[in-house]
Amino acid sequence: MIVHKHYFRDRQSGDAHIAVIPSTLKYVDQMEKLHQTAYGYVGYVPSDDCDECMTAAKFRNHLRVFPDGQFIAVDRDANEVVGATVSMLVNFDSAKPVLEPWVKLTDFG
Amino acid sequence: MYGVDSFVHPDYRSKGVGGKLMEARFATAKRRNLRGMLAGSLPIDYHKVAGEMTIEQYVREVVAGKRFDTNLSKQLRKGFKVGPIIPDYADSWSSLDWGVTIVWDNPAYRPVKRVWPVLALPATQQPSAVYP
Repeated sequence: MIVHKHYFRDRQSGDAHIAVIPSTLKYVDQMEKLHQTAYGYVGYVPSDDCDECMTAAKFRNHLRVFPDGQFIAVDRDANEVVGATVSMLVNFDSAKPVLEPWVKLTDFG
Repeated sequence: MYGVDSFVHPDYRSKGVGGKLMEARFATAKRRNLRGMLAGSLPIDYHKVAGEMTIEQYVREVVAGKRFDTNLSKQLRKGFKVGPIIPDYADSWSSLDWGVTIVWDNPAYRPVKRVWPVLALPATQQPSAVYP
């Protein structure tokens, strides 16, 4: 996979230790934990009634289907995932975009 | 490409991390010759003024630059355009479940010309071999 070198160059001097890299299977558990921290539901046990909780299994699935669209930000000093992004291939009309609820578009993640 | 999710640890916000994640997506769109990106943006500061104005008015003011939204304004700065606003997009107390359609057009996108296979060659170019 191509790693875009210029993303390692940092915009501000303060975050020189943060790198954006393609995400891989070994990070999915950390991503699940980060999702809970970022969206503020730590301690809540992901269960069937949480449609919008992202789990390691969902991240794994996205990595399998569209690996080029999955990225993470890693704090290289703390060796910790601090950001993540998930994308999906869809067809859409740029002039007349139609958005549907997240759970419908992603089939609950 | 649809932006499913993008999130940053609370301690690492306002450092441009989310922007860099977005740029990585843009690079993928360019490399794979994708049309662009479609996503649903949560206008996360709407709840602060929801009593005073409608979501349409709020988004209009954010687009005009009169108001700053911690999520939507940053996406607009990245080059996203705003589309229709939909209710019940996602479970979000901060945007009151509203979602704003945002679209980024890949400037490098080139529609692929479909090349049809030649089904019949002119008579003069027909292979002359006699098949068994």
